[in-house]
Amino acid sequence: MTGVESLVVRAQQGDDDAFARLIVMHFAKASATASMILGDPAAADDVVQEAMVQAWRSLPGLRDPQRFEAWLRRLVVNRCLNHRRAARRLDHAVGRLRPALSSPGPERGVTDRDELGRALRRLSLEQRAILALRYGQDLTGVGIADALRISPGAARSRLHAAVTALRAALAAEDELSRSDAVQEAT
Amino acid sequence: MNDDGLELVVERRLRERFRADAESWDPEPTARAVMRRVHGQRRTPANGRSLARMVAGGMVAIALIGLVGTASLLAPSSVAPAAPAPPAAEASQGTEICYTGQYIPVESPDPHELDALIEAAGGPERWVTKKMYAGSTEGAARAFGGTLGEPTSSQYETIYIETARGIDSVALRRFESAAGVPVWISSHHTKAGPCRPGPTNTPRPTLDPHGPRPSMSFELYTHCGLDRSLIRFDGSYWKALDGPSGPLEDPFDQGTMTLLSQDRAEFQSDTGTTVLLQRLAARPSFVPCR
Repeated sequence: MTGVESLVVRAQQGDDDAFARLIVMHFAKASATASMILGDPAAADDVVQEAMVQAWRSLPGLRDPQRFEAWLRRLVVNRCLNHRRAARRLDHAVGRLRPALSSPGPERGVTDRDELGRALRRLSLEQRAILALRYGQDLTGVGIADALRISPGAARSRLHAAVTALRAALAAEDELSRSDAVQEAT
Repeated sequence: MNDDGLELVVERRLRERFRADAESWDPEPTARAVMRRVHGQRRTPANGRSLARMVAGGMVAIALIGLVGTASLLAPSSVAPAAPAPPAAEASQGTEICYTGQYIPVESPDPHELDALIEAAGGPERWVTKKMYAGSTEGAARAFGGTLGEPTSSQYETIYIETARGIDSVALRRFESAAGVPVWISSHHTKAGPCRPGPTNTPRPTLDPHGPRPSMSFELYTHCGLDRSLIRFDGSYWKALDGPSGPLEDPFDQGTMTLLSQDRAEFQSDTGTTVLLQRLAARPSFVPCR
């Protein structure tokens, strides 16, 4: 049994020190993944916290300690995808309560950091998740499929579509930057 | 630049961004915040290996069957306007509980999705899907036509149901929505319909003596002793021929049930203990215990 598996088993039995160590070990990847999907560090931190708390609650149900990382990854990705749905529902509710006020929405409330960030924001959440899993966590089609609960074939085709979409988004951002530069020059 | 070159550039930029993001986070504040919240909802420490295994095995699946023309208690309309509490007399008539040995998926439902289901159903204290009741423990017990029993663990709780024969129990796993509403979930394998052995219910398979032996993950109810539990597998009830070869977990033991022949099956616990079982022609008498 590896060190991580041993920690998982101890955490399953209620050892919160072991769980704290698991959090620290897996935090960086989880946070970077959430950040790439949501494009908002604060929201990513919230989501990771929620996922970690859910992990604590649900950990006794994890049958195979070897699967902990994949299981946690799935929790985080699922949380990210649901986070935006919940935000949309909240926006809708707020919009109904305060129709006179225009809500900027979670997307526009976040500062765009760079061209890549802006391009990523043109993609769907699932496309961002696929890119984060492939290029951030170095997962293959099977790993992506597991995290998103889709077939490996679907994962591969969606990865291809996500890369294509990102290239198009980068090209669009590039075009936008050029036209801004021309306008500033004139 | 050709497509491959462009893809490499995109890939490199994504990898760099991810790495920079990962390095920019300090895990300590979040870890502290998580642990503060975790301490606020501390799980009951495991009773040795038992609790972890018991919970890891999911929960026992229960099928409640009305024997005397009573509608299934586990199949209410999916979005009922309110929890229909069956009249006490009706609920107590011949309700049969069948341990199918199945278990619910180990992964928890998403709490936000639970809130959405509750919202769609019009609020708590009602069925939000065919297998989920949202609301108080008392409401859940009423919805299952029973009265509330003592929790068996922090992970899932048991609701006792008064029947004509005495007291049987239903295990429901408790989850919580993001808004804090308790949600009670029965097994997704739980079926409405007759739960009696026989060819009209589940045809017996023809076993190829040289072929692979059918087996399935099985959770054996052990709490009252093997002679006082309804063991149901492959469309029939079974009884233990001998005692177990070693210790079994209490109240359930997770393992594998293998059909050895038409009339013999073997339960093998994950710990290695085995129990040889014989197929019964009819439902045995059942003396439940608390």
